[in-house]
Amino acid sequence: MRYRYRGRILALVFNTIAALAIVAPIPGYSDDEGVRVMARCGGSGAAASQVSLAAALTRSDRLDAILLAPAGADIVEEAARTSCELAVDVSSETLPSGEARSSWSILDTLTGAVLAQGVVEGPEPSERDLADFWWIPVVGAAEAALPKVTRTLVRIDGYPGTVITGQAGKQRGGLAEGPLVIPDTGSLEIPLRVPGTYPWRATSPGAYPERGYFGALEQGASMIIPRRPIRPWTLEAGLYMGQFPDFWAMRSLGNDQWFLRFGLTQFLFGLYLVDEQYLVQTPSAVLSMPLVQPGVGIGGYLLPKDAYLRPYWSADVFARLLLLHDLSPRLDTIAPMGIGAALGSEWSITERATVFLELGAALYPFCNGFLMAASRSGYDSGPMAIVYGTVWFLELPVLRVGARFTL
Amino acid sequence: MTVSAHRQNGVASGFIALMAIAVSALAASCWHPTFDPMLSASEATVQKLGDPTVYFTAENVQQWGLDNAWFLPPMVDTPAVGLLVMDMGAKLAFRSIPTIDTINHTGWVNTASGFEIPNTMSDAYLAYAAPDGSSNAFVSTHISEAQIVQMSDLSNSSMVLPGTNTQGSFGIGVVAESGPTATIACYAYDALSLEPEYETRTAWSGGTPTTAFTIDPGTVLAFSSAAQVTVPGKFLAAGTYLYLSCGLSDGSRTIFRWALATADTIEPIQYTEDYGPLIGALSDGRLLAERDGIISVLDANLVRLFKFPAGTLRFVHERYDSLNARMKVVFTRTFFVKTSTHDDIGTLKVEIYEIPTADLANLAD
Repeated sequence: MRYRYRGRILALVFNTIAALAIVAPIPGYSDDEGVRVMARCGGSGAAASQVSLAAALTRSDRLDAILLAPAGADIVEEAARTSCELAVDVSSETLPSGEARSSWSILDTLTGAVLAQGVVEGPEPSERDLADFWWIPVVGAAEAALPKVTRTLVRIDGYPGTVITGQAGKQRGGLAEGPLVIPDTGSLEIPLRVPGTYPWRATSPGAYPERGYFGALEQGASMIIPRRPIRPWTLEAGLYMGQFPDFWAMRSLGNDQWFLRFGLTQFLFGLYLVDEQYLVQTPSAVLSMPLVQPGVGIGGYLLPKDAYLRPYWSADVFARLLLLHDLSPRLDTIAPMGIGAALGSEWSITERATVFLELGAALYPFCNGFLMAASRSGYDSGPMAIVYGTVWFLELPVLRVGARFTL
Repeated sequence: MTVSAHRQNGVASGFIALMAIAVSALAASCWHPTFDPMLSASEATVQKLGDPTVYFTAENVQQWGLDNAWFLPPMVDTPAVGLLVMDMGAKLAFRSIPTIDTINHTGWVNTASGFEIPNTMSDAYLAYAAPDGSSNAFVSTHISEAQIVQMSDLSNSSMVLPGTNTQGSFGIGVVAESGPTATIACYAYDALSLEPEYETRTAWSGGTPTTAFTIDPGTVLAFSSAAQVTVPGKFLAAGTYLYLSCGLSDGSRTIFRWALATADTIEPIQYTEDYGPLIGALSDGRLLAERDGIISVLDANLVRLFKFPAGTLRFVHERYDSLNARMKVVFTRTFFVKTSTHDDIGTLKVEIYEIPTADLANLAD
């Protein structure tokens, strides 16, 4: 009963960690710069010429790019999605008197607010009229509305090659959709609406990812992207099955995506908290066994360093070293070595310290499976299941908790 | 304006993670490593001993009493019966293994005919197979009692051992001779007369040695420190010496050695138990001591000749191999594998290993 209860707890813990790992934010990416305007001209008559409207807007030296709104799309939504500052929406018609009328409005793409609106009326315009003067009030209104939504150039200083994006799951404000890359000069100027607050995330080879909020409050605002070079060595102190202290050193590889590690699991000292049983002497709470397991392993992180929970996998190979009194250290002849595999997740509590929890299994190949099973028959073996054959032995789950400290 | 980066704290996620770690640690705190140092130690020597002479498994055996059980075979080439000795500290329980199929390697533990006796001698109790190869065992666990137990059905005959009924310190042991006989040695300290006495009986081949052990009046032992002996131990007649491995009233342990020819007149030499209590002796006069699962083979002066890891591999006796006219040291290894997660039943496996006495040094580690 007690084992089943603990088994449910372990399953709950595993599911909790897995769920947190899944919902942990993942990095996002986007694009653009310059003043972009989205235009749409519908209705009837000669003035319902989207091309002539776009051409007129293009001639403005204050507008950098004109995008035509896709048919059927909400112009504000589409303009916001494509990082346009303004949306120009025109509806033309031919009046019963034979004159033409174009009703226009200038829209803020972030809020949808109407910044300006008006009407152009006159005799049915020819193509030349459309090119020469028909849209002059519209262009003027767009240029006049620009300061209400305009961006100013801000400077970002950082390590060359640093890639800046927004943060997944957060509003970008006016930050570009695509990644920005710091050039070799180490400085980048981009247009941003001021005032504004921009969540950002920066990655750079050989450095930890950085993230933060850029508060662009005034003209000439600048931001420095910090850079913390990856520290290659991490020390790890864990509790094997929550009972036996073990120690590992990890070497970060591949821009902190992989790691090599080596260390020691020891059973010379540990906790052994079993329930009291009638007519059975309760063993000491401290258990000491002459066995240590030096090992080496590899692993990989499934999310970058700045994730809230950082899932990882690892695989180790270890030796079982006997330290019997009065004898020289030697490999355990029953099971000389083992292979461990685990899935885990770590959570940063400070810049250099993380705590972790991992669940896995241990396989002992080339062993005497029957003797391994006999090695545990006399003990309360807790919430662990075993499967074995003639020359192999598998035990799971293997649980480890502990902390890592980056040097 | 410069805006520095700052980390976003997933406070809720962190709290959950810490709670998960704490709960997991508590859930796992009763786990025991898959490791038995005694079994691992035995395996190192087993690999030098080679294949067992006989091995068998018994299925659906109750785990009760098997944590420290061992197998005593008769002194024959291929044992077909045996005695399972279940050492539970203050008492011993015995089970017969009436049949051993040496072809199919199966056996049967007869749980219907077992019996239990109190053990006042801790690890120094005696359970020894008859040297003549019969399926009798000589069992002694108390100053005044011993039994001859028939392995196949556990029928037994009780006897008084030694003759005195007075409570005092006690020691007993059997050492094989170069042939199908053995020497039994017994020591008793009479708490009324305050006289330490001993008796040896050579050429014991089996059967009931009742009449051979009437110590009182026996041979008085020159032993002025007799009153200090509080913990009984092995009393062995090996070579030309008598040895008593015992505990003293101050809590220490020691080994006394007398020259057999002058044991009644000359006080013993006292040695420290550097390698653990004596557990037996061989027909060539060498002694066996064991501590922490390591058996040390000592010469007559208690100098270690070599050692080897034994763990659950138990020295049970030395027997005469009549076919090859040589003595062999016999070890047995007994272990249990639980096969049910709900009931304490499982598989009992017994292995018997032999090595010629002259080759015992091949086990040296």
